[in-house]
Amino acid sequence: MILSGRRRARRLVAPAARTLVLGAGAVVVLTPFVWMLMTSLKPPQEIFIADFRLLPANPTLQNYASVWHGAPIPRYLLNSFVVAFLILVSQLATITPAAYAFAKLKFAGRDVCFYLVLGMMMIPAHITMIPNFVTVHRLGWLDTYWGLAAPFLTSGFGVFLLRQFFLTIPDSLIDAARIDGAGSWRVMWQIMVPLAWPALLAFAIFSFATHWNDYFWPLLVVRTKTMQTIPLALASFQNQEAGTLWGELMAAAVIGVVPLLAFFLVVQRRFVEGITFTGLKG
Amino acid sequence: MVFVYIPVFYSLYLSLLRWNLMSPRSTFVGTANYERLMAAPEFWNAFANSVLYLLGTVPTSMVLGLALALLVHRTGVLQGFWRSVYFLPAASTFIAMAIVWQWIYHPSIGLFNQGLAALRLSPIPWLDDPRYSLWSLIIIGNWQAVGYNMVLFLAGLGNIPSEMHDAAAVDGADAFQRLRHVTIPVLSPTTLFVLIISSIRSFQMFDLAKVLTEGGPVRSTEVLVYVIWQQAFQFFDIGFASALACVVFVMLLAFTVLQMRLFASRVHYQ
Repeated sequence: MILSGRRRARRLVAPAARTLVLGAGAVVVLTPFVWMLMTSLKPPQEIFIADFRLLPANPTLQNYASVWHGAPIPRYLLNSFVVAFLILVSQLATITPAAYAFAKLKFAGRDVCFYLVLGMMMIPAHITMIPNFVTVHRLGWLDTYWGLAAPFLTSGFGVFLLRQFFLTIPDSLIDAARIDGAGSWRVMWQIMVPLAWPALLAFAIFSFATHWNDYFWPLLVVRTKTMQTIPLALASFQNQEAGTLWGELMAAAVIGVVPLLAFFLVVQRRFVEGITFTGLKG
Repeated sequence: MVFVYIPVFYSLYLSLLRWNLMSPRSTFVGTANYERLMAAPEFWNAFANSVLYLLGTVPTSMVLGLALALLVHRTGVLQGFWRSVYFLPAASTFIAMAIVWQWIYHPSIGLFNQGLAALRLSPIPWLDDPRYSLWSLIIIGNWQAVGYNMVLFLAGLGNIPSEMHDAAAVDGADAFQRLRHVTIPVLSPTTLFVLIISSIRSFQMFDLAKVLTEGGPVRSTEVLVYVIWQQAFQFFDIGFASALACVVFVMLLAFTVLQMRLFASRVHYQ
């Protein structure tokens, strides 16, 4: 009896303790976001005071207005979007047939080719960047959308992810379609793709976010201000303003964070699934 | 494929040249770049910094990520909420958040030093002192990686059938024993995977060193990838940079294979 009483107490205490710990952790994790937002709403004279105040006394959108008028923000957003979108379309168009071939067709050298694709996932971007830069430079693609997208037109990870998904689709479905006279191409687009859309969507979200966020490759390829993507624009703004206009810098950071964050919150579950796919099967 | 495999061999070839990227002429110098590399203090300094960054981020972000996953996993309907909260750092534009951290680390009016002042403690020159700079970046690295690792662990936890826990509970195992003898062994494939990808990501850290510290002060945050970038695109020493890229690649490969070998025998696949 005593034991069951104790157990009941633990059943009440454990969730409370758990919430407490998670809540404390959340405060730590969210602090930079809150601090960013609060600073972005403060006028300069409130930022440069020594004593700590979280909330702005006179909240203002002045910082946002200066950032918006001081730089072609819509252009940066457009650049980021175009590059991420070009990459995504090209990746989807290439990984789908490749994954289908690796999963459901039999041809000489299939396994060797598949291992080569797997190997692609293991090679870090930093080893390929110098040669890729030389190539893009020779092609005259520096400072163009093509140059920004070129190294990422297909994805070994995407092929792998989609192949694993295609493998789970029973052959009998394909055989049935073939008896009805469908060729490989139709089988792929009309049977495989509709069934695989959760995997495709998860990959799409993952890819889009990755390239929206990329800083390294655009840093090499972009030469003029008008071709800057969001991360590059933020970094160069920080370079000019560091130490002075913290309110404006934080407003710029908010503008940089919001699109991806909003996108993430909308597709949250799929995004996590996408990460999970990469996590457990990559 | 064209942009991955050909560059690997091309990199190898470039690493045997002396070339400044601009001139049409390049000279074949054999392994001279590798010899220079081994003798260069910059290389060993960057190597040490990269290893320290790896050791400072991977174990802590994995342990915290696992702990959070275990807590969040049992929150029922609120699981989605907690997952989103902790995943936010990984889902936001990283450069933007790096700039926010720079503001938090501001020597006089940053959040951290204001907090220290409120506690009547002396301020810490987070990014401006070579003794602290790399550790300051390590804090950011952890902040970003914990939620990501948590999501991976959560996915692994979701695959553990609850019957296993029930069976252990019936046999009289308490919560800690169940964690030690059921959860952790069954989770081991996930753990190995998280270890490998976190290590690869950590070892290739670049953005923070570039945007926040430019490798400084006094080279204290120069990591390997930063040096590759600097040699190739600041000093235009393509041969040296390519040699370094090849060395980093071999290190990563060896490290990954080593981790798989070491832990393969301890990983239990269902």
